[in-house]
Amino acid sequence: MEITGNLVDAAKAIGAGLAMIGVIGPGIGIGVLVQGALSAIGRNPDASGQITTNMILGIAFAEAVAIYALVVSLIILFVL
Amino acid sequence: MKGVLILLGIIAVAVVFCGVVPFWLMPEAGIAVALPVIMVPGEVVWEDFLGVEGLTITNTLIGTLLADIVLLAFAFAATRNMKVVPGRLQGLFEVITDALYGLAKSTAGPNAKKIFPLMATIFLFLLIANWIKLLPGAESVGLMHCAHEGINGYPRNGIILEVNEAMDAGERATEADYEACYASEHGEEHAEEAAEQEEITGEAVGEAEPDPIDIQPEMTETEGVRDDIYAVTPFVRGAATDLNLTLGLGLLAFVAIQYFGVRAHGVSYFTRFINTPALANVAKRPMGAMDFVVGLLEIISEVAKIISFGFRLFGNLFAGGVLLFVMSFLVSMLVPAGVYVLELFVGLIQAFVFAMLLLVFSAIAMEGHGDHGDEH
Repeated sequence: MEITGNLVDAAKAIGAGLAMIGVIGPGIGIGVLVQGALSAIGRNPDASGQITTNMILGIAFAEAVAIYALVVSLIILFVL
Repeated sequence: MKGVLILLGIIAVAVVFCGVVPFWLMPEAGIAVALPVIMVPGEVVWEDFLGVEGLTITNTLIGTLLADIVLLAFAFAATRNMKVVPGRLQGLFEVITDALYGLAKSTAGPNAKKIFPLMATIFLFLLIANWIKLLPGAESVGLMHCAHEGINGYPRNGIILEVNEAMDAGERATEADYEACYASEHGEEHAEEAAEQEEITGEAVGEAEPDPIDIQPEMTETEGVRDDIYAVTPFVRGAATDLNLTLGLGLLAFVAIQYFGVRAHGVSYFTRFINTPALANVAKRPMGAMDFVVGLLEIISEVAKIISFGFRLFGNLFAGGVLLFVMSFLVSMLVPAGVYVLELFVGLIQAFVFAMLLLVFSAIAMEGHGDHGDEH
């Protein structure tokens, strides 16, 4: 099959896709975080408010890494 | 029997609103959903606003100002006429303020009073700024203009873009398309202007042509020049989808954290970065050298907070905007409603996270430094 179109666009799409591989880590991390928070709430339902707040904070830290990957891929797609 | 009827009803509604309407009726009428232009920097709505050279109004700036106005109006309406028994608006504000203050109190303890005003302001501002982009018309109603080179556009039908095919990503405009469109838009009187532009850009095209990476540059040329490729620049875009705002807020948060630290501890605050006491006592406690190196590393993590603050907010909100665009583009009904609910949640969470991190970092900066030696 003959390939038509712009090679740079194709490379950008591939690069943006590859950049998003970095989301695997934060995905696992957030899963572990929520698992821990849920079992903590299960053991001590009275503390659920504080546990939830801290869980959201932890998720924000883990998610920041995913957002870096996202920003890299967005920059590749729309700025470069 | 009733369950089966309900299931059939749900299936029928889904088929009508996710199949028939967006993929048949709307393209038939030429009002299928267009894929908006996705750009990272804020798009320029007015160049040289009010004749002032270099004063550029971007749509994210309009979003920011709108959020400011809404927040000020709410705050004014809630506090203008305060009563002991609060009305609805005052009650709402009291509930929000009380919840935030309780949070600050539980995190920062006695220092809560100093951090609370900044943290609550940032929370309320970000909450409203994030939710403004979910209003109908935001990121969709705007100035229609000829699509610039490399931007996908659609033909024009009165005041809307005509899209008569479902999931039509539009046609990518070339330089020639933009010039033809510009000339037909501005008529004869501006023909010279357009011709001048053509001359200037003509050279640029000539230079760019021997580009070895383009496999088949003629492919786009053969389709001919079109003069009806338009794109829309929205008037309002979510404030936090612009890195200028989020990095600015990150910088503000960083400065505020250092300010709180210095106010609580004086100059000795900086010994947590350049740990001279530990270095002075290194003969007595050899581990003090380690503390000194850790303190230097703290500088990096302190500066990284700016980037972390800025990109977390920007990434979440911008990605949310792109998600909304793409979902509305793929299935224009029913499905985007779910995404809107998600975005409502994300906007709240991100505003909360920003305020909460500012609170936690400030509390850490202010909290006991004198008993530093006891921690080890």
